[in-house]
Amino acid sequence: MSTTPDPFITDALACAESLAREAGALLMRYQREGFTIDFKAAIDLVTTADHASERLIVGALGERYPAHIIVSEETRAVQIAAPPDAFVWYVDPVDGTTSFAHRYPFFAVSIALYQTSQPLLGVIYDPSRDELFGAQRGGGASCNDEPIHVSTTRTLIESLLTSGFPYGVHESGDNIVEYQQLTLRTRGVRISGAAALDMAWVACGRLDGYWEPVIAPWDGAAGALIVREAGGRMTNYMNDDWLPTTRPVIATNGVLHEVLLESLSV
Amino acid sequence: MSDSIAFIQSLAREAGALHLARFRQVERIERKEHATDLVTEVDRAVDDLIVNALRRQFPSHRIISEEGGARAHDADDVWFADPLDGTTNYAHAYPVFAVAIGWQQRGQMVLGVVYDAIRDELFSAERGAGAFVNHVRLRVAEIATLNRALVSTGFHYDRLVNPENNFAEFARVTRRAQSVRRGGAAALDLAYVAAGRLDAHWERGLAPWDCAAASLLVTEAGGRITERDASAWSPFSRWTVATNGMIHDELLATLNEA
Repeated sequence: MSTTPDPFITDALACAESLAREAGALLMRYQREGFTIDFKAAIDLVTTADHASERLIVGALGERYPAHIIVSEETRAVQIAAPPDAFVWYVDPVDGTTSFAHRYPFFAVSIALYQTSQPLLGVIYDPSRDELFGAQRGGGASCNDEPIHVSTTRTLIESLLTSGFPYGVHESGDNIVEYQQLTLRTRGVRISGAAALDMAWVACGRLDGYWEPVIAPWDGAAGALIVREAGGRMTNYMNDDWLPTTRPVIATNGVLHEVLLESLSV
Repeated sequence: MSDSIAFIQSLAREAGALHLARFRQVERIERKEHATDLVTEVDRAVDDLIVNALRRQFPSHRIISEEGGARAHDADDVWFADPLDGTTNYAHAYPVFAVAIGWQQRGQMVLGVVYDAIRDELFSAERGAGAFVNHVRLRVAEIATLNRALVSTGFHYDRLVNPENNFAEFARVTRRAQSVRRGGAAALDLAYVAAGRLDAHWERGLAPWDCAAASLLVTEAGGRITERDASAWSPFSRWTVATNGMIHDELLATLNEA
């Protein structure tokens, strides 16, 4: 924690923060003025706002860091021949697109920078509440420049959790039984539809834990660092640290991690 | 009546200010399970504020509030007040909660106000005059099928002991709707149906003060609210099914499938 902050990372964090705010402002403009919706699959959709937000962020990052790789939800550009120590940005231009499309005010912009599978910085911006969550590796996590910390809730029955369902839930029914079981064992399980926001809210103690069977790299890349820097844990269902290649996710205040793992491994 | 709505709107804003003042304290408590006393305090303080104001303004009316309980409701004029809808959220500093105040005259809701202090959104409706959020007219969404619909629900506190726990219904709707949400504050869920941010909300076991005010938002915004068997709804109904109207029958059919 006492290491001098790397000026390159500090600078990149400031860049990510200002891009997240700019993209957030753009999203709010689309909320007011309207957007159109396309369907990628039966219940998987994308809006003109997703594309505009992505163009803004990916365009600016590409200009400023031309040697870096950018992995983003709508382009999904991945350079196969990337060197192992390449810098990789993960960008979710609209986390919670379905919520956004219905004007249900739970959506965010998520940006993270990784090198050799390790997170260097992460930013999650919630434009409808004007809350900017951020973390730099080893530097703690913050919300609007105030330090944040996970909750200290010790038992499931006193906890408030959140979860989400995969796009294939109509066919698979995936996570429905787990959702019901944990609804019985906790004070409640929220569903916001915005994975990155769920992680940010675990980090600041509004939620004690979050799980979801399948998330994408850009959904969790920033959240993983913010949760850990706020004192929490984020792993897969086998208790291995969450990486951008990991699909299932469990994020908790740390205290509840084992018991949530157990509840989900049945 | 317009005087009354201005009076209730400003009362709801006062209640919201109390919510926010204490919420900042809850946010600073690290052990959220210790927030219970603060929540009880704010619940009582807001209940007192509303009940006293209503008594002064309408001395002959009946008042049914969360703290006062559900007393006889056979009077001509009945007020329903929820001082803090979304108590669990509030206790955890999860910023989704509201105050709700509604007026029923001879069995019909005539006025309803729901205020979300966090987002500074004041939802209000008068019978026959439409529903509004901060002066913007509300209209339910035009989503015609469940697989294009965003739907929310809730699970009653008695879910551990009551077999009618809404789980089978939840499973069916989750496999049919575009997506399901769980916000944890029923008055706001219903206000969001009115605002077209959700296409439906269904729940068993809502208290009359949870849903009375918001039910008028839904109907005045062009939506529909019924019991689960499609019969006429009242704040004392066991099931509440509120929709944009267009998906009402499909949602009822999905809930009632064997």
